[in-house]
Amino acid sequence: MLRLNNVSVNFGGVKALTDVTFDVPAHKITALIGPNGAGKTTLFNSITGFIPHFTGEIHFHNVKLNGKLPHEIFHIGISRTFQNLNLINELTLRENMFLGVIGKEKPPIFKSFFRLNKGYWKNVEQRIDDMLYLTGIKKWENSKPGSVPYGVLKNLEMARALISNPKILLLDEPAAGLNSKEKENLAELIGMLNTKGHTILMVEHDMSFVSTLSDYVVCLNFGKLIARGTFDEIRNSPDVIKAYLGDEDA
Amino acid sequence: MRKLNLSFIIFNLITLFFISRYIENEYYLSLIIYIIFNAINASCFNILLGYAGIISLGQAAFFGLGAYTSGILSATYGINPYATIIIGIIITAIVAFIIGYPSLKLHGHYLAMATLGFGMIVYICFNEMDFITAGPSGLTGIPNISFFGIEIGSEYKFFIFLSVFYMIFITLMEFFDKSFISYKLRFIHESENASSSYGINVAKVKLTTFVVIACVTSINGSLFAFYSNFISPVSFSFKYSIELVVMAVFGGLGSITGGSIGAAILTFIPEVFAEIEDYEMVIYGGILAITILFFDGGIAKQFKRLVEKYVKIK
Repeated sequence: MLRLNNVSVNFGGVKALTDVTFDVPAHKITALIGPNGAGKTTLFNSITGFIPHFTGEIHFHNVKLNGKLPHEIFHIGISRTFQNLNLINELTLRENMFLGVIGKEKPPIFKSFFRLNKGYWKNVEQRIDDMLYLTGIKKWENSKPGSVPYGVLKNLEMARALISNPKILLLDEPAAGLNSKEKENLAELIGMLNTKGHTILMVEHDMSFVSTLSDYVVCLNFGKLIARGTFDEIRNSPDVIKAYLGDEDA
Repeated sequence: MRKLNLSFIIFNLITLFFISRYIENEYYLSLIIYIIFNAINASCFNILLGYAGIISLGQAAFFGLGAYTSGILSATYGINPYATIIIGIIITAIVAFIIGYPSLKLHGHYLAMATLGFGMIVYICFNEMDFITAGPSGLTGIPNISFFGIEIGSEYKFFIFLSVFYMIFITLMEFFDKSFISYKLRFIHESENASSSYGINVAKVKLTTFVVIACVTSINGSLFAFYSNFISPVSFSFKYSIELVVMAVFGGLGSITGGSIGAAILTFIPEVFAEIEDYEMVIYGGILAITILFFDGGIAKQFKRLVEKYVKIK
């Protein structure tokens, strides 16, 4: 589905990624792990067009992503969330959901401006309702981001990404900053999305979260792919152990 | 989508109706006309900075481009005023596109400096191209505009004419504020990266907004030329761009009422206290600093908070 072939990124003299090659299979959850500075977010940014100057190739459903801009990549079917929440505090949670719709569907400007296509917007509202229910945040729909728990906002980010009906969802540290109960709820949600057929690639540090959810794990260290496989295969890899715990000689 | 809130429109309608009925003094009518011109310009600036996060310090230049295009074409070449307004829009759109295309790739201070430079260049052109603009001494002989055969010559007639334009403008502002377009601009303001990762072509939306706002400001400039029958570069200087910034920030950024509230108060005060004229920029600077430091969201937001508090108590 998503194929990375010898992807390398240099920032000046620093090699952020070196010849990274792997596939993200359809309808599975793939986790991207690695210590801080391993190049996980750089890889995400390369896939989603925020770092256009990588070498190698990235293909999604046989469409080459090299040189494409972030909004073009979104329209191909790749949706992502960010580590930092990008929500508008002045708008309610429901209103924040519109970002997931208006970028994808490009509503007609004149008709929408003068409210001549109420049927369309009613349909949008219905879809927002459905997504708020699905992600379990419907009861906070009229609250503003500043007045709800962090876990709710994380779910909102995911709901907003999902409403555009992406072919693959890229989650950047979805469990970061959540308490254990919120992590449980989030894991349940991601699991449910997977059972509905969504393909997910996520960057995550929390290994229990990764082990619970992931079908496949890809591990990076210093910009290089050091291991890939199932979580059980990865956890016993000497390279991964070394990357996380350091060299015994050190 | 959010429901339309017609209270501000109705408030303006009632206020303008009472002014039209009870104020006959030409000086006061002239002051109100200036308030309306400033309200439209400050509201336009508010859309740029308050909604889209585009800080443009060259708005006076677009106002001037409209005014000079209409002024020169009607006074020197005798072209129909409405045709000159349309030509003004076209010229302003082209200039805004040429300026906006490279400069909107910049952010924050850099964008402010780029638009400031543009404003300065246009101001210098108005001054130096005296073979066409009449230079610092100003362009005279601009005719009155007519509406359905009625010449809009007196203060009272122009007040009515401009009020109609203003009411259409704020009604469109309300539609804009509650439309997905305002959401789109707010999302871009919050995070350009997130917006583009949700399929919004940020560069295109920002450029379109910049050009459309420049065009509306240009229409306002054309009307200003037909109102005053005389224009000189000083009306379109950098100082005027700064005044618009202060009006929008003081009134309330990101609120459709902000530009009008700021314009009403900050146009009225210097007229009443004429002796402070020499210290105008110092006072504007002070107001800007105090508003930013202590009144986040300006007058409009403070008023909204008060209303919400009152409603909660009830």
